[in-house]
Amino acid sequence: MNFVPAGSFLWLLAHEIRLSVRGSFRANRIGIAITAAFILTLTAFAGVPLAIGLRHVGLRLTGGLVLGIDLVMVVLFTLLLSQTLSSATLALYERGDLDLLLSSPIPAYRVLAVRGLAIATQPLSIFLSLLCPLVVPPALFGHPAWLAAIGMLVALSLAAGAVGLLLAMGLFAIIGPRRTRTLGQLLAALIGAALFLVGQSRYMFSLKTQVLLSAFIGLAHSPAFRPESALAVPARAVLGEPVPFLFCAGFAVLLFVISVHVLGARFSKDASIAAGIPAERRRKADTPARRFHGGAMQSLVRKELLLLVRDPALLSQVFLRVLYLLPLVFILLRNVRTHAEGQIATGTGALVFIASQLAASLAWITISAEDAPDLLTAAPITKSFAQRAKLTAALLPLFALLILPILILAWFAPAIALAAGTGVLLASVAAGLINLWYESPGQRRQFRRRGSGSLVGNMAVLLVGSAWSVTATGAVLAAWWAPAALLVTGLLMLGFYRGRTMGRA
Amino acid sequence: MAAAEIGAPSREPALRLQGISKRFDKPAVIDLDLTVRAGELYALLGPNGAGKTTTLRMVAGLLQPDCGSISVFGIDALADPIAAKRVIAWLPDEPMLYDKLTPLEYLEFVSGLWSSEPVSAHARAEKLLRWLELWASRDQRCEGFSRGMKQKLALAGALIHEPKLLILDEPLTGLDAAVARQVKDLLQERVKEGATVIMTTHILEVAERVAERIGIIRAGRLHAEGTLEELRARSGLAGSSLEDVFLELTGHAA
Repeated sequence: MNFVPAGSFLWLLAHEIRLSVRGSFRANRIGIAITAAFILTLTAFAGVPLAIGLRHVGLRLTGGLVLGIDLVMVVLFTLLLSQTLSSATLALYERGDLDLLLSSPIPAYRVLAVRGLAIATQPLSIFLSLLCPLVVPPALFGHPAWLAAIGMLVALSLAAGAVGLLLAMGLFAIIGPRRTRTLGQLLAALIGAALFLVGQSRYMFSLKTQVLLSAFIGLAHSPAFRPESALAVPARAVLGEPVPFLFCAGFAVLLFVISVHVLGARFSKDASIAAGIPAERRRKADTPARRFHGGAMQSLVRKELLLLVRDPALLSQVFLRVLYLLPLVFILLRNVRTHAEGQIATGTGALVFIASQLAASLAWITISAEDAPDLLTAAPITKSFAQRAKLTAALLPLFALLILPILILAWFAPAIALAAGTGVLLASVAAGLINLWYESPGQRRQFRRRGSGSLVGNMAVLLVGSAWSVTATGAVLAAWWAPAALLVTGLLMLGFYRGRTMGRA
Repeated sequence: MAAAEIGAPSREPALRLQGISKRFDKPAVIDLDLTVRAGELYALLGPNGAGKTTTLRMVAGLLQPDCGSISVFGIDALADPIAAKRVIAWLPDEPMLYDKLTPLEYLEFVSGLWSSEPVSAHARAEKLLRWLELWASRDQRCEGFSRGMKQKLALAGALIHEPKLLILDEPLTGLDAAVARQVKDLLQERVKEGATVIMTTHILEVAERVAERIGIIRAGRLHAEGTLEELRARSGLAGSSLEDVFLELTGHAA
């Protein structure tokens, strides 16, 4: 970093990049290898055929294309904003090297600019790995202007970064540091889930595909989406028209720069307030009879639940997964009343799968993200006892959440409720057990990156969750293949149990 | 916190290590024999990487020795680790706390792990928190605590279940003079009540002032052991400070 002046924006940026690259390469070599393999496969089997097919085809901008591209951009922006808002909120509270940077003579806006850039570009990698294989080959085969789509994605992430920062610091100013930590995370989760919920509303409200299609065609033919309209500017930018592209990219950069300049001083102040907020005062101690009661099992379960409830970042992530469950439960209950057998079976399968994923997330928190493992090892309890307690703590909230809908389901269709309940129970316990077998110790704040801990473990959770889902679907349909699905699920569990030593290694 | 609760004086040594070895990439502890009497405050000293923490982690049941035996008040800690852990408390140099729990909740959790009797555990928690000047913060989450407050709370956690053998790894690191004094007083108080304390420290004045016997470990082996006077005699530095004796015995004397 000798070629740039110490303390400059580029110097700070180089420092951040160095830390980020070293962190990712060291922590997740297998993940990077898999991503590289995925990109190569997507390029070979989708990007190159697309490039050859579209070699001599010129894209004519129509209302439908404008609407389609605009919709994709809205979806992308929402997903990016969910991530950047969450990161921006955390950035205010995570100390790390922030104290060092803010106590140095470097201006606060410069620190925020680099941190903001990191916040904005962090979620980009996954989208770039999906977009580049589809855009680069056509660009090489006669459509170079399409490379603008990559530029637009970066611009979109910069804009999402700026809006994320503005929202986080706006919340901080309005509702204070304590509530921002919780609300910022929950808001980010809601934004992230909003698209899913909108997507599910089609099923929830029984909207027919034809109705949606005619609504889309109607909108596409409206003057608002004509190629010369203002709403067509982003689409034209994506397709590489220079003026719209420069306009959109320039707007995103300007928004980011203004946010950083305006918020720079405030960021420094807010971060110091966030660091200095006194620890929250809890409810006064109850009588000795209420406190200090229960044995090791109760203490462990209570501790895990308290830690989960008091961690806004974790809570929002779990909340996000719960949001994914809600439409499924709704659809299932509605279809049971209308006797739509196929949809009931699919709904049950989906419910079982998402419950297993939620169980896996909770089990990772309680089992792998233990803050004081030595304390538990030094305690007079066996490892298996502690594991049972942690598994109980992980599954309790899930069962508490699903018990009521399953009971309602039992009122209308006892057999289906039995299949759904048994499926949820077995799939959740299986997900918890896999977390035990392939334990990958980590810290709670690494929840989103927990997948890099044990690749085999994560694959096992996905595969076994899917297998239980198929089994539950088969059970609801009383299909001839249901026992075979159960057998495959059992064999999968046995295989992963046997392979647990390999997974840990 | 009556002495009777800690236990009647035992004829068994509090700790007996025989032929303990542990190897990581290279040998960390080699054929170590060590005996700590019940009711004494024993300081285990040694240069960085000498094997002190590894030894104590094996006693606390956090590491399995490659060979040898560990006996805690006559209990074979390798054959029956749960029974041994019941009478041991382990306090590492980095406090084992949960940021999102309050001090009272933390002590409640630890006493639950050791299945302590609820009413007396609550009374002990209050007494410990008052003694360590944490009572006013009893309902605040630990995330905002200073290093000293965290270390004091971890110590309270180690004492909440009335351990007969208290193992402390660098308990005074990073503490200011006032807090360090509180911790030292508390440890001496526990010894008076009949508990046994084994501690490692780099602050030799502390060992000089509070330890009844001192063991010096070097390259994984017990290099010297005895009272301060015995160590002085062995090093040939009568009347010298423990620092001089330590440097002489570990071969770092100027």
